[in-house]
Amino acid sequence: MSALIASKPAVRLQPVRSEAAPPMPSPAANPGLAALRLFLRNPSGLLGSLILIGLLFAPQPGPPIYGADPFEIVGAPFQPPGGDPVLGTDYLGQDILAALLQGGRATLLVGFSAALITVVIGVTFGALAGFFGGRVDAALMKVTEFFQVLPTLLFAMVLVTLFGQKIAITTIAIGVVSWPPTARLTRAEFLRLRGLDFVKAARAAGAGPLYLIGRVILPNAAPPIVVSATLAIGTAVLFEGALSFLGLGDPNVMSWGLMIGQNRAYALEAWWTVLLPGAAIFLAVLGVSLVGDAVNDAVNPRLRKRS
Amino acid sequence: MRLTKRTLLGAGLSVLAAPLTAPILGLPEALADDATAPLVIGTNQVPRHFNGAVQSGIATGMVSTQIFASPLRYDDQWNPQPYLAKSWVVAPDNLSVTLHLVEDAVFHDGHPLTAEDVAFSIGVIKANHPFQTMLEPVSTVETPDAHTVIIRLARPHPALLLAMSPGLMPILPKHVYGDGQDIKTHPANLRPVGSGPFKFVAYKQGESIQLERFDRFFIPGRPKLARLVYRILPDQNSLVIATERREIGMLPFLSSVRDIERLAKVPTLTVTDRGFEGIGPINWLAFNCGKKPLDDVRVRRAIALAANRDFITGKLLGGVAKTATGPIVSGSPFYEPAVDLYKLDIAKADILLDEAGLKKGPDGTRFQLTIDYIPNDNDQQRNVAEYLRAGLKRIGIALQVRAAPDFPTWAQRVSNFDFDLTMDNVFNWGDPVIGVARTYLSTNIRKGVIWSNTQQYRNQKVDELLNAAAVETDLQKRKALYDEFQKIVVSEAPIAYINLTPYKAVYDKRLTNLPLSIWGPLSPLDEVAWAQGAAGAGR
Repeated sequence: MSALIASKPAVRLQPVRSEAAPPMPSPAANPGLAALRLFLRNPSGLLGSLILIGLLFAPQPGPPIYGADPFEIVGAPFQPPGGDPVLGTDYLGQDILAALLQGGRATLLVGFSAALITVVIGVTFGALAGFFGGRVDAALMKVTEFFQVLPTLLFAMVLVTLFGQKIAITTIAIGVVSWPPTARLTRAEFLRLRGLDFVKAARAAGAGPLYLIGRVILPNAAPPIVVSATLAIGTAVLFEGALSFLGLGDPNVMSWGLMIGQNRAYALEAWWTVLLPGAAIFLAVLGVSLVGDAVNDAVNPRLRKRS
Repeated sequence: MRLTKRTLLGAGLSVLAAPLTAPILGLPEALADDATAPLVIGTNQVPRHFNGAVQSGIATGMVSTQIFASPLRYDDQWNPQPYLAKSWVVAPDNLSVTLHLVEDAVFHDGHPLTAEDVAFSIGVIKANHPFQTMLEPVSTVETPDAHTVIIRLARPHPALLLAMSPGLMPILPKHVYGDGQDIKTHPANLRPVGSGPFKFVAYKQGESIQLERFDRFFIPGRPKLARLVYRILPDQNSLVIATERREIGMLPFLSSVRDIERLAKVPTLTVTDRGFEGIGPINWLAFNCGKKPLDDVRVRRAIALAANRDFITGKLLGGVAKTATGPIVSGSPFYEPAVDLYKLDIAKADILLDEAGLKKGPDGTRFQLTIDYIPNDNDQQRNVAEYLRAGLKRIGIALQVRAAPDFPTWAQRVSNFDFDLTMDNVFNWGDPVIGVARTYLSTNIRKGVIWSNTQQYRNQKVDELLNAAAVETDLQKRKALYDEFQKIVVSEAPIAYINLTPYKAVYDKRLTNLPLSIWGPLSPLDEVAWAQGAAGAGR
């Protein structure tokens, strides 16, 4: 918010400068760069990015540096942290640190992939419904409502139960249950934008519906969708955690959710086995959430209107 | 956006907190100073119904044994004791058994219990009970008078006396069940009428079962408890907490290591492993012998050699479980300890696999297998399966753990031979004829039937030994036959025996005359009582 207010005077000053320099003014020529600058000026966004980068890159060199297979049994079960291995062992005697490093990869991969599925389905439905309106809108929104009224976690559980506990199924299940809000958001943006003058102008110039949707309206509807996609990553990470917590994770792919789910029964005797992966999930969701918020501030349509 | 973000953060916190907040369901604490206080029995098993004549398993058995009486019951030394039969005579030719019934037994609805009811029940059990070998040799049942039953056998059947135990032969009222309806779906299965110490009051589906003292029970002065309440809590943690808080007075069939260790420290509770000799539970790793490469005995032996049972029982199971060495539990009179022990030997396992022609690939992997396990039993099943994934990797077998969302899914896979390896937990049920032979007889390979010979193990010699032992009445000769059977089966390894399931029963210390016979919690609780004046907290 502070970044938003601080940047307002710049908006007022802008027309004066653009008169002085006939070529297109730099902020308008590169709105992405301006947004990035705004984003980087936002402390919570920076913190969020740092957390995410940390979590994203820790798993990558993890195995080579730490060199442990998360499924290997390295010693007696329930060794507390502080000894060897550093973060202790879980219910089977598996190395917690190795599992944390390797597990983050799967967890974040599920998060990003599921968010991608959410965005693809949601934007397609929302864009078509919002652009065409009428019967198309009614039909597509009925489908959306159908998915919206299903209890999401329950529906995901049913999907995983039916098709098997595989990480790919989990990802698809999460994507399939969480797209309706994105669809509704996209539809709202399209409904708002399709009546505006620049769209009418493009239509008058002979643009077809595909061009209008993809090249004219979507770029202008993008900011809120980008924000919701960022937050969808966090939701997906939590979803993966919840499914694994309920015992529906893929037992052959180490993830933070699986760690919590498998160790949950022993939480009272060995707190570290669930608290550490829990903290990792918490950090990941916090990071995603902060980034999403900062993106929201940076690409706010009110700032874009100056161009 | 705000709302979404806040919900996200809140949910993130709740993932952290959720494992630490176990749900505690409130129910008034059992007051032991009141002699009429109910005994609350905790279980996470939901019974389909209460008729143990057509349904095996502990969920039905725990309740069925209280409602229905049986001809015999057992002490803690495998000796039959009078129950509905005040005496019994085994004919010298071993081809008939005569039961003399008590005369004053009545059903809960007031009808007298007669020989007709016993004959009817034996017929029902023979036709419907899943343990087909249990009464299979019974040819006819005669009832010369109202209190005499003669069971005629086609061939000697030494397991018959054990098959008359409370959990295996509940005596049903013919006037209720003999109305022509299908016994397996009979409405009375959910509103049972028996002649046992407690009568049925109410069942709240999946929640609780209430039984009440039967005042005209045929043993005078019993039962001593006024009421039994079975509290069904699907979550094991809730059960343990409720037991700690003394809301549950009896928690049978506890097998989780941490739960056992936790409750053993509670000064107001008794934790005992007595009372499970009859059931004889073994936790084991079964091979699908009908599938390559597991049809090769060398591969099965190699896997058994790589499964470090010392680690499993000592570390994973925290030392509370005994190692299982063969198909018969060590508490049984037929147990044979001198078998192959499959001590951990990676080098020997590697040699066996090389000999079988399954060489290591460039990445050190020989071949892939899957392993299934019974869901909702972490300590005995899931953890051992996951441990094996690491253990078998050492001999070049890439093991994929296949989780099943619920019991029927697992049973479906295993009974249809759709598995490579599976963890399983199988009961001996007292006599090898009842609970052991079914796993190994080639005639009992029955697709779709769980706990039959789902391993598809075939050995003619084993079939002969088991069939001979089933009719051998001389105890020593019978043991010799079972000894040979055990040696062959352990050596050919259709199953790698892991551990005896460390079932424990937990009792409130204020209870006296605990059921410690060989059938333990599956025996009538007519003698159990609250100790006089034992009330008061803080003891």
